[in-house]
Amino acid sequence: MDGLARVGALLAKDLLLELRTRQGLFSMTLFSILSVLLLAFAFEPTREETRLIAPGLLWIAFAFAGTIGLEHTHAVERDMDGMEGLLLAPMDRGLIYVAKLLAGTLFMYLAELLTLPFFVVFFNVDILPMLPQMLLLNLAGTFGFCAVGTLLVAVTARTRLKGVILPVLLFPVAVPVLLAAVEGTAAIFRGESYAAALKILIAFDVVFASVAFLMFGFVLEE
Amino acid sequence: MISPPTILGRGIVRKFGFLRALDGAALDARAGEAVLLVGPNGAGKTTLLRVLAGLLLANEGEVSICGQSPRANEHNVRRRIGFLSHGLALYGDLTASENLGFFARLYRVENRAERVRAALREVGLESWRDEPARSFSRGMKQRLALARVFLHDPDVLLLDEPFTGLDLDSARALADRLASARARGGALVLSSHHLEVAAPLADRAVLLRRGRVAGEADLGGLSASERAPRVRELLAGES
Repeated sequence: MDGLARVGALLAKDLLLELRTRQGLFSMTLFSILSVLLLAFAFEPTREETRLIAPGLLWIAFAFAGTIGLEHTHAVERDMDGMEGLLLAPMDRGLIYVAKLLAGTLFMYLAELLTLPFFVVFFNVDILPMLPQMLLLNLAGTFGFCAVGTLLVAVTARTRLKGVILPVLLFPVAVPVLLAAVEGTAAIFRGESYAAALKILIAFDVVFASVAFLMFGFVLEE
Repeated sequence: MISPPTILGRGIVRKFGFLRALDGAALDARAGEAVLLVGPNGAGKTTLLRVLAGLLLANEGEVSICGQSPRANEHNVRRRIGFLSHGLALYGDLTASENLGFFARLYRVENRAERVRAALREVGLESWRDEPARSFSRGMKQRLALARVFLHDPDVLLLDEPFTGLDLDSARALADRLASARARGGALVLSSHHLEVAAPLADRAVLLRRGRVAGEADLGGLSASERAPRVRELLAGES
């Protein structure tokens, strides 16, 4: 119960900071929408072409926007060295990971939800019939991406280049999650079953989140 | 029988790449004792305090807090430590009371709201409770960080330059707070260049130089006014 209460406190703090500054969500959403807009104008796809390329384009936009969000969730700890206060607190450091993962997933997911209407308009696709499947798959994909990213952003925070080096480390490791997410989204667009992709994503989510939870304390050690 | 030191560090080595920031440093403080850590910039004072607080791992040596290894009993040890550093460990976009409320939740402090109010009152920030920490002056931020340090009633205080940015009244109030913590059996290690305020609080002064203990002065038998000059002698003798 103590652990849950502490995760609640950590998460509430991150949400309050985001509500007050709106920097993370705003940057992510703007980047994601602009990416969709640029890709739409670059390809000008027909309805059939959209079905083929949209899953990849969407996840490119989400993944890059997510990287910005992940970096931001850690940047708030650097401002006045808030992370030091967290490291001194009498709790398992894995709890910091859990709270950061939940906050990162929530912000990235919100940015995706805000991007989807623009995707509908620019690509002229009716996603309403497949919206429930997309929301579920996106949640699983976003969680997996953030499970890896939350750990790696803590690793890169110790380097001089910080956010610059994050995508270089993150994207290769997150490839399995992104491939499964793109494959699942493509299946949804084709009107086929996406269950296999969802199962793979859930398996990745569990494995990545568990390993990262166990490693987070070591990563924060100086 | 002499009680074991509350804070114990022996043969501590800490390297940053090729640099040996701590090169066999040792320090101890017993319950109710205050130790003043002095030395030139780069002597290793901050690094030593961070190692004792468990924020940095020592490459070699032994650290124990209240008889417990910080590695083996990290939650128990951290609960007993109040640590202040240059970074302040605050959130600029949270108000003063939100900052303390957050840390009170992490430390599972009882009667949270009342404790936060009392802590803000103690550092003279009660009327600023709803202002974001970012809008505070350096001294006010320092006072808020000190309120965070004392919030969970730690019995081990590790303070890195606690008087930085404080006005005279705030410095006196902090000195009183530290004296009362000592009187209750707390062990205190502080590093400070503000010798006029810090030295009268201390029972001993330890000079650190190039990561090693280069000298020590017993201040216990001296009057408050004689302590700062004695520490200056210690500093001058070794520099």
